[in-house]
Amino acid sequence: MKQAGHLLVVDDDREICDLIRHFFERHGYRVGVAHDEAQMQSELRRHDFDLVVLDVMLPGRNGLDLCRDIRGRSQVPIIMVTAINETADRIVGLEMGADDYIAKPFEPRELLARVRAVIRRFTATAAAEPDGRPSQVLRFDDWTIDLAQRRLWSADNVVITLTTAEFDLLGVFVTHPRRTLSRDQLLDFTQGHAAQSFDRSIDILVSRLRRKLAGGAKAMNPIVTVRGGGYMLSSEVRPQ
Amino acid sequence: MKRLFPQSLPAWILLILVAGLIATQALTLVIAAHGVSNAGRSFELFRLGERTVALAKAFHAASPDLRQTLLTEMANPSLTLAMSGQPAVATALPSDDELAELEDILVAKLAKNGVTDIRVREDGPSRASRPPSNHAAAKDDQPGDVEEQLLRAASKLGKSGRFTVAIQFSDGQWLNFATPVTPDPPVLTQESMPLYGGAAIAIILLSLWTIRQLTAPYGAFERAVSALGDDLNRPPLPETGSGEVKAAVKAVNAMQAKLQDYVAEREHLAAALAHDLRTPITRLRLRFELLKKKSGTPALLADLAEIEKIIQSVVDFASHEVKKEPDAKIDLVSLVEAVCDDYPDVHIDQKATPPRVLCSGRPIALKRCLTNLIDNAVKYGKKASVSIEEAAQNINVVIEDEGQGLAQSDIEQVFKPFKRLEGSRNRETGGIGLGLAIARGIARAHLGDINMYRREESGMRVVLSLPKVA
Repeated sequence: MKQAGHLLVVDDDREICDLIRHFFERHGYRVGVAHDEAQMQSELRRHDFDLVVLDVMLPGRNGLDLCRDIRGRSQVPIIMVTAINETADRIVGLEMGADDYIAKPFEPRELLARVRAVIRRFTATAAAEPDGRPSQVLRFDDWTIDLAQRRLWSADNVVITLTTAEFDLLGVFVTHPRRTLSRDQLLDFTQGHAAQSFDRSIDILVSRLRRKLAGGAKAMNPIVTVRGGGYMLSSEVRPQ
Repeated sequence: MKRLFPQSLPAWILLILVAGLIATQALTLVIAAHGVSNAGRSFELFRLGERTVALAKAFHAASPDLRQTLLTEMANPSLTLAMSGQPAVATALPSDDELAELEDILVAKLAKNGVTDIRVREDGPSRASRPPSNHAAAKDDQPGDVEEQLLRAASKLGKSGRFTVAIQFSDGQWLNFATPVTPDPPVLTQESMPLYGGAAIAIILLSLWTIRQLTAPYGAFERAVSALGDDLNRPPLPETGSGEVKAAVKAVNAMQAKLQDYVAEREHLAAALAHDLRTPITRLRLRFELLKKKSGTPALLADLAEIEKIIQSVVDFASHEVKKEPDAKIDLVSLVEAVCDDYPDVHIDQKATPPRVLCSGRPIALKRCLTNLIDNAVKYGKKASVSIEEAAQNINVVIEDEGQGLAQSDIEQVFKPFKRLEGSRNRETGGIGLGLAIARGIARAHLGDINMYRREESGMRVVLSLPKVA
C-alpha cells in the first residue's frame, strides 16, 4: 500500500496514541506518537511530518501554546483535538495557527477525513505559495470562506451555515478552482465523513450548495456543470 | 381592603408625612384661634367698661330733655340706646364671673356720678335670630321688652353676640344700651389661606425630594440585582453614597462575586467531567473501529453515542451562559436548513421561507439551540415542519410537530432542567432533560425567548423568537 502520509499524534493518554496509530496504519499512514512536550519536540526534530494531531489538554504546557510554538518554526499542518464543545478552545486554537479542529470524543473516520482534507488542502495550495503556508481564509467572488473555522461569509459579512457535507464539497471546489472535478473525484475527496454524506448524491449536494450561494446576490452561480465531466468552480480563488 | 393602602415605601412615608402635617397645622390653628379670642375678650370688656363710664357720666349730668336729645344723637348702628323705668336686663345676677367683676368695678367707679346699679349681660349670636314681637310704648315697657327692642336693632350688625348694659341712676331711671360683641377675627382668611397652602405645598415638595433621595438607592439596587440575573459578569456596582448604601452595595457586590465563583465552579465541574469521560469514550470508539469482528458493534456504538449526547448536554448546560464566542451576523435560513438536514423527518416550509433572514448572535450557540428544539420535536412529535416568519420586531422560527402534545400545565415544566415528562427515563427517548433548558437559556441570552403552544390539531407548536437585526 502506498504510504498516505506521516503523522505525529500528541496525546498524554498512551492507549489513545496506540489506538490512533493502529487505526491510521491500517489506512496506510505512518504514525509517530508523543506523550509530552519533550517527546514532541524531539520527534519534530527527527522527522519531517505531514501533519500533527495535537490534543489541547496536555500535562505541563497547554496544547494551544505548543501549537503556537510549532507554528513559529514550521508550516506543518496541525489538527487540534479539543474538549467537547469547547468553543473557546476552537477559536483560540485556530488563532494559534491550527488548520482544523476536532472535538473529543471523535468518530475515528471523522478524524481520518479531516486528516485527508487538511493534507490535501495543504499540498494543493502550498505549491501556489512557495514562501508560506496556504491561506486558510480564501475569497471567491464576494464570498469569504474560512477552511479552518469551517465558516462561510457572504458579501455583506453574514455567516451562511452549511452542513458538513456541503462545506466539505465547497472546500474541495475552492482548493481546486477552475478544475473540472468528476463526481467520482468529488465523492473520493469528501468521503469518510459522517454517515449522511454517503447517502447524498453529489448532484443533490451541488444543487443545495448552488441555492445557498445564490441566496442573496443575483450574480452568476460560481459552480458550473461541465457537460459529461462533472462540476467546476468557475471563480478565481484568492487568499484574503 | 389591602388595595386601599399604598404598596411602596415612598407612598407610605408620604402618607404619614401629609397626615402629620395636616394634624400639626390644624392644632396650630386651634391654638392660635384660642389665643386671639382670649386677647379679644379682654379688650372687648375694657372697651365696654369705658363706654359705660362715658355714657353714665353724660346722662347723669343731663336734664330729661337733654337725655332724649342725647339718645337720638348718640344712637348709631353699633349702639342702641333707650331710657326706661325698667332695666333691659331682667335678672340681677350676672352670668359669669368676668361680667360680675366688671359690674362691681363700674358701680364703684360711677358711684359718685349718681349711678346706683349696673347690669351687664352678654348674649350669644343665637338669640339674635329670634323673631321680634310687637311692642307698645317705652313707658309700658316690661324688663324683657326693653331688652328685646335693643336686641332687635343690634342684631342687624350681624351674627355675633352682643352686650346689653343697664345703668340705674339715682332718680330710678335706667339707661339701657346694647352694643355688639366684636367677633373674633378668623384665623384663616382669604389672605392667609394661600400662605398656609403655600407652606404646606412647600413642605410636601421638600419631603417628596427627600423621600426620593432616600429611596432612590432601593430602585438602583433593584435594577442592579435584576441586571445581575441577566448578566452575572457585569461590572460591580460603584461603592458610593451614604454609609448604609455603601454597606448594601458592598453586600451586593460580594454576592455577585460569590455567584461568579459558583458558576465558575459549575463549569469547572462539567469540564472536568467531560474531560475525564471523553478519553475512555475516544478509546472505545477507536477500539470498535479496530475490531476485526464487527458483530454487535452498531448497538454498542449507539449506546456510546447516547452517552456522548448526555455528556454533551451536561457540558452545554453548565457553560451555555459563557459568552466566549464572538457575535456575528448570521443567515438564519441556512442555519435552520443545515440543522434540519440531519433529520429526515423534518420538513422545511420552503414557500413561506424568505431567501435570507438575518439575525445577530453566536453561531455555535444558536446552532445548538435550534438543534435541541428540532431534536426534541422529532423525538416526541415524530414528524416536524419548520418555518421562518418575520414579525414586526422579531424573527420567529416555528417548529410544529405531530406528536401527542403536552397538557397546558406541563408546558412550563419542560423548560426546567432535568425535567422529563414521560416519567420513566426510558431509553427510546433518551436524554436527561436538559435540551429545552439549554435552548431557552441560549435564546434568552440573545434577548429572545422560546414559547410552546398546543396545536389545535395535535402536537405542539414551538416558537423561537429572536430580535431582528437593527
